[in-house]
Amino acid sequence: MEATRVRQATIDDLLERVLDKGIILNLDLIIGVAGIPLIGINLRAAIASVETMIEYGFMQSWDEKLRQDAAGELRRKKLALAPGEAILLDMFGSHWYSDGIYRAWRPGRLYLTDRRLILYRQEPAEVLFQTPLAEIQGLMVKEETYFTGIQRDLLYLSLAAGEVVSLYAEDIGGLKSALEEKMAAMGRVPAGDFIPFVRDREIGDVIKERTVADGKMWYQVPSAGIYGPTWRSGWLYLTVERLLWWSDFDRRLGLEIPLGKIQGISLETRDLGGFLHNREVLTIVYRNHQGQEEALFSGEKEITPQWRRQIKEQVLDYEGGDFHA
Amino acid sequence: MLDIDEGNLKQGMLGLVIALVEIIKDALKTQAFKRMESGRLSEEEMNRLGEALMELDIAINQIKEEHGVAEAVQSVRDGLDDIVDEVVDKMVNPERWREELETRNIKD
Repeated sequence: MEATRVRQATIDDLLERVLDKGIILNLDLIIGVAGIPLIGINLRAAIASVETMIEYGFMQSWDEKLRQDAAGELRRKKLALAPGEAILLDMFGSHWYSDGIYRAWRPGRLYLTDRRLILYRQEPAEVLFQTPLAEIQGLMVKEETYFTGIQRDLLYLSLAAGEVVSLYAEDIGGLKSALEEKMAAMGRVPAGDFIPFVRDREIGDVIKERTVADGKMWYQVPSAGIYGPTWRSGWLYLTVERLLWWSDFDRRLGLEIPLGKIQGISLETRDLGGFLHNREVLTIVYRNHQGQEEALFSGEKEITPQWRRQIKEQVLDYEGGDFHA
Repeated sequence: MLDIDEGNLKQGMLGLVIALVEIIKDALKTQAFKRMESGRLSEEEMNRLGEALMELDIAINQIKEEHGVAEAVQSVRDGLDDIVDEVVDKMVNPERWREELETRNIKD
């Protein structure tokens, strides 16, 4: 028989072959300095797949013992269900977890039972997320675009506590229809048309009305306590009822002006201090419980006039306001 | 092959790490098949093993997608495969060493 050249030996093939055949290492090593032996190493190692080990009579009882232990452990760690609770759906899923500076997708197994929606991780065992079905107010599937340009469907649930959570599931369509069916059976129709306030995948309030425009905007946060007025970056939303500004810094709604309270909109060139000279600033004069207030926004040069036009149109359309053009 | 500069540091590092994880995962998968074929595992154990490996697959793919490192991972793996291929080839066919040496001598 002649040795033939395998056109492409991959690292997987190599590993498989090595593990299948097994390696015996016999190593004698002396480390010395200046010709004087100082440290001696005498190493005997055998590396192989467990199947090969068992074949040669190694580790058999160990293998059995480990598997037995694992089975016992698993019975202990099984997801705790209430008596009579039945699992309807079971799939891989993950939950967007956010607490302080720790924000990440936490993967686990998603279970839909006849009472709850649970995301359970077995190792280490933890319930990552759960909600009773009765607390789900609305659900929506929305395509999220990653910064890499890849799109992925996510399931958003709004809960009774006013909280919005985002979940990823292997079969998001199946989960959505099963959830809807289950809720319909409980005599409830989930709201499907809410637009979650998703900013940087952090979720805050829910805008129930139609959004006209949204985009990146800087806002001069008025002085509070020892802090003077500060420019902060955020996201501006114009809806048919309100003008809302989301603060990227605080990760919450920083400003909310009902359209009816807006009294004037103007574009001015202002010196903002520091090295921000002659910036175009969108000034919105509005009424609040303290009297007249001024909100200053600054954004990209090209879009600021657009914002002014859009807000003006929206305010003029809005009835019952006291806008002075 | 492992060309890491400031611009692609994240891509490079994460790509490298995930490529290694993937290689280990593939090795584990092969071994899992071996064990399943051996008939020593119970039905329940086989299901568990299969499910866990499948979830690992999905989780790794999700990380790759999220960070956009699929290409970097593939290039690291291709690079490693090439090295292995070359080494194995030389071990199987020692005469290639001579060929290579000869061509080098001609060049000199």
